[in-house]
Amino acid sequence: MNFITLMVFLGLGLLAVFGEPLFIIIGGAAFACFHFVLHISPATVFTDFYRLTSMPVFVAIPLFIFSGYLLADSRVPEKMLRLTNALLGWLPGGLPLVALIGCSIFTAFTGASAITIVAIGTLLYPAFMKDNYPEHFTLGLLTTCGSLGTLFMPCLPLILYGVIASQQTPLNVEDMFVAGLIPGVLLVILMWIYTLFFGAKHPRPGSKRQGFKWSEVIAATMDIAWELPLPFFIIGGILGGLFSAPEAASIAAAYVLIVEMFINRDMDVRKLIDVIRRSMIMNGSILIIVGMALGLTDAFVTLSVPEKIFSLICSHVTSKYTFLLMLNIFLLFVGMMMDIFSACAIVVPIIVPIAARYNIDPVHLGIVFLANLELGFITPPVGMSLFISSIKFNKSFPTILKSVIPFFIVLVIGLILITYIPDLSLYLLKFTSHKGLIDPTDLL
Amino acid sequence: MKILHKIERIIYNIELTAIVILLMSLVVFAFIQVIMRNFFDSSSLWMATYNNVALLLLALLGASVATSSFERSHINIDLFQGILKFPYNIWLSSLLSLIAGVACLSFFFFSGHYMMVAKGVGKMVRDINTPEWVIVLIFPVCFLSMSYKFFICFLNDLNEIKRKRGQ
Repeated sequence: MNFITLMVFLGLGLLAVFGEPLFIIIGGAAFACFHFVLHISPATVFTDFYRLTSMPVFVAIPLFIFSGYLLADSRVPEKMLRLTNALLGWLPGGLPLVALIGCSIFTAFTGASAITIVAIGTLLYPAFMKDNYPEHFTLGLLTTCGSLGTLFMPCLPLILYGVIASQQTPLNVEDMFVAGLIPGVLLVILMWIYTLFFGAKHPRPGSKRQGFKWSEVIAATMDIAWELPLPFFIIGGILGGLFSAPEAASIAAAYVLIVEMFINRDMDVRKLIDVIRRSMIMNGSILIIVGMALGLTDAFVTLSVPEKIFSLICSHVTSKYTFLLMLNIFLLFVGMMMDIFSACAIVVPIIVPIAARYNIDPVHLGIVFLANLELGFITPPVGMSLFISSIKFNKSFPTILKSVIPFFIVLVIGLILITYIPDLSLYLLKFTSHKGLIDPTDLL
Repeated sequence: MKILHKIERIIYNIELTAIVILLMSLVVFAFIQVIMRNFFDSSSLWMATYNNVALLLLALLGASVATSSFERSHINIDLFQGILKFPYNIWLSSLLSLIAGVACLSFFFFSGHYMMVAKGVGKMVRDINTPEWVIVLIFPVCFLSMSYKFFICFLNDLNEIKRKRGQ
């Protein structure tokens, strides 16, 4: 690497820290690699970007984002909370459990973009206050819940990791969906156990547990009757090998559109256009980073960057578990600086080949990667959920930060279990079957 | 300045209209493909190719809309904007917009070069019967649009500093 290239990279690093859009930084880095190091025309970046059109699985991304935004903008959050409350509200720690499950399902469909805090958190906050839960506990729980569903299908980061990693190693997006189930449930259970301990330690005077009422369960189920089959259909379809991720995405988008526009009539044309605008801005912001990152990855592969990093690490780290520990610390740092989508585009192409040398399954690596970055949502200085909570609940940033600390510790415990017990991620894969899907473009 | 904003608004509306049409067609065609594959054991090649092309167009048009001075919603690491006080935060924002505008201009030139090469090769995307360079044209068009919008953001920031200092 010559002096000019080094200066360009340093300059790009500085610009990134100061807030330059990340696609400019990644595109600039790719341009610099091709021009100064490989002495190839930087236009090569666009050849790589154009490869998006030959990867049909990417179609799942805009479709899932669209259906997630549609759901968020309809009355689904209220209806879903009503049903979860009717089913689980009577249990000890019922309301926190409703929050944990409701937020997880919602995040899985809206794509870990912290919409959950706005849509669900706002609805739950008054309920927690009414039930005499301490404010710091409520704020911490709702802020942390904003990203809790990241490991549940069909959450966007799962798809993004699967698609990007599949460029480096044989991997199905559908396997990521299945692999995330047990670790996702584990995190929810750990959080629930903490809320139970907290509830036992801090009794709330005047609060009483609600009873279980069949009439409310039936009424809540009828209210959400049209939306309720969707998660079961998608999860069942993918687990049973009936359809692939892009197919599930297209079904979800078409189904939600028809239900919210023509059956429930929660959406009119003006509102629909606004949903399309916001969802496609999100889609564009993610995919332009991914497109540029394809160019940067191409340059890195040509320059054998992963091999060089591997030989550097290999001289100090020989154990798989030490590598995983280092990876956890590195990803925590990445999560502090970057959002989950950019991290997928930039970090995954580098770590997947290195982890393969340590015999780490790429699916397990993906779950560890995403569980780590899930923590990034509540880790300063960039933690998106912290900012959104601070604005939404009108509390100072330090107040929110202090409130999430116990939940952060619980998630770290979960992360350690997920990292060092690979079977948590890989066990269910033994039972899945995949349909031999042939995409027409493969026939060309 | 008014005319510049008007042009930006026109570009924005054209892009948004294209996005609405592309997304709706993507939803319809992708759904039809699922029905055809699962119930009739067949599929349409042109629909599959169209969906993949629509994905690229949606990505770039979405990114271009995100750049507009009234959206400004690209993903970035925002460490200093919240910490810095006026006028330093706006100076920083204007400098970043200027650099991004120049960067997008260079992306425009190189993607234009890529498009010219694609035109020279003359490859056709068979199933939708379209020359590849026509699809590739979206790169220079969107990067030029993004460059223009970043410059508008730069000018807006300068105006804001001027306005606030005048108050």
